[in-house]
Amino acid sequence: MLALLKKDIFTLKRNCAVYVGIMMLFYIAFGIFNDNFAMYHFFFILITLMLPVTAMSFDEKCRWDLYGMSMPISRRAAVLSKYLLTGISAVFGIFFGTLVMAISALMHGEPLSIGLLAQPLAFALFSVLIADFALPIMFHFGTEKGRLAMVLIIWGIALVPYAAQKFAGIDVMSVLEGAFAGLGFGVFLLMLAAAAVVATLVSSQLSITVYQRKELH
Amino acid sequence: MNAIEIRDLCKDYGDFQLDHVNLTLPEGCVMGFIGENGAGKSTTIHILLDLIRADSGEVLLYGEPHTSVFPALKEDIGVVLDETCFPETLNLREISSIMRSAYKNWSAETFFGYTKRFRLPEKKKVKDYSRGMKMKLSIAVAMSHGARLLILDEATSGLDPVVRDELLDLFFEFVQDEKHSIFISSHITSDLEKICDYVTFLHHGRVLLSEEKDSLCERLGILKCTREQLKELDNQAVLGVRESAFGSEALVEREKVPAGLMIEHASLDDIIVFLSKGEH
Repeated sequence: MLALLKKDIFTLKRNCAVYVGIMMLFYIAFGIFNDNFAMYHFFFILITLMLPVTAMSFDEKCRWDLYGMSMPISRRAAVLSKYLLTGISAVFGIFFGTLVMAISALMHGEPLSIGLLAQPLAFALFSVLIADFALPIMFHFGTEKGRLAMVLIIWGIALVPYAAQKFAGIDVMSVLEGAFAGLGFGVFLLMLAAAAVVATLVSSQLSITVYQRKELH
Repeated sequence: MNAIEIRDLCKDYGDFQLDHVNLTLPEGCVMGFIGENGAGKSTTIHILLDLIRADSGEVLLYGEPHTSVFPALKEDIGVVLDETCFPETLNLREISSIMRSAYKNWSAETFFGYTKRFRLPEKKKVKDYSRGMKMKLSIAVAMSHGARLLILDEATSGLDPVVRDELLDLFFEFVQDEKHSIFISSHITSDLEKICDYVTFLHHGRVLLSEEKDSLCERLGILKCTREQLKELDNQAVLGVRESAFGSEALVEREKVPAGLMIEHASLDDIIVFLSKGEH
């Protein structure tokens, strides 16, 4: 698995470093000027999702799967390396998101607290959940259809509140706030983390099953 | 001990079938796996490497069913596919680093020894390599982790004669160790004639012959004769015929042809062409 992770990191670092760096600066600046870092965290959702997709698309382009599976690497390890890459990306997102939140707090004269971790952590867990839906699709259908599935999932999630408001007069955000009102954000985070763990376990097993049956040629 | 045994291998893709492929590669030998484009060579190799699954049949590597010994046995197998499959942005150091984590017996010293021998630029990325350089890179990787079996799928196709000759010398060096074996697929029979001990000819998914190269070339020959002389021959002696305005050429079994008729040497190329295109 380490070999595959190295391959992905070596491949991605050149292609993504400039793009990610520029976008990070843009969104950080946007967040500072507007005092709202939601876009920054949304950007890291995209990065968390796009890194394994980009790695898989590079693999498809050079037919790495054929060669990789002729090496002493199991298909299970090949699948898990992509989940690990997603996890690494999420951890970086939490780290940089917390850093940005801390800088923003200091700029506003606010004290640093563990609560600064909450928002980046929530967005990172949410992005892992989306990846858990998309990765099995990519392993089965390839990255083109996997990307399409991811876009549809994100659009679907974004459109649900609008559609509910327009067609049923339901304010989804109010409903969610009411449902979690008594629980507190900490409990909400724990529930989200548990959902992410369960979803990752189920998704990875599904991906392994799909990939073990797949014919590579 | 046989390095590779394939028994009654079948795979059906609808418009193409591998039809009861049988072949055996003894340890320490080189087998040329010949066939025209689309014959099923790559499909057979992909089944051998468990990249695709056969519908029926058996594949044994060193006496064990291949699926029961993978992925561990892949430590001992060096693979070169028809195209380089390394991500294009990698350079030699990064490839060596990746392979060090993949293979227990990876030797960076051996790898860089080969890359220096092949004059591969160390700092250039794979995408800047020519086709010949990419193939040399794949071969350098395949031979740098202590492999005892090389599986080469069209590894010399598209390369110039100088490069091909260089690579064939390398393969010849590899099998000087009697524990080392090579399974090489190609449609360039002249390359295979230089190094192969065994030859298997695959035609439209079926094995038409699989035997020792030297005994094959001794057993078969080209007979040039008139049509009348050809008709007098035992049918069992004639494996393929080509007619022309001037007479007939036939691929024949020497022992079954009456003495007195002049039989010329048949190269592997001749044998393949007669078996695939000749009338029977």
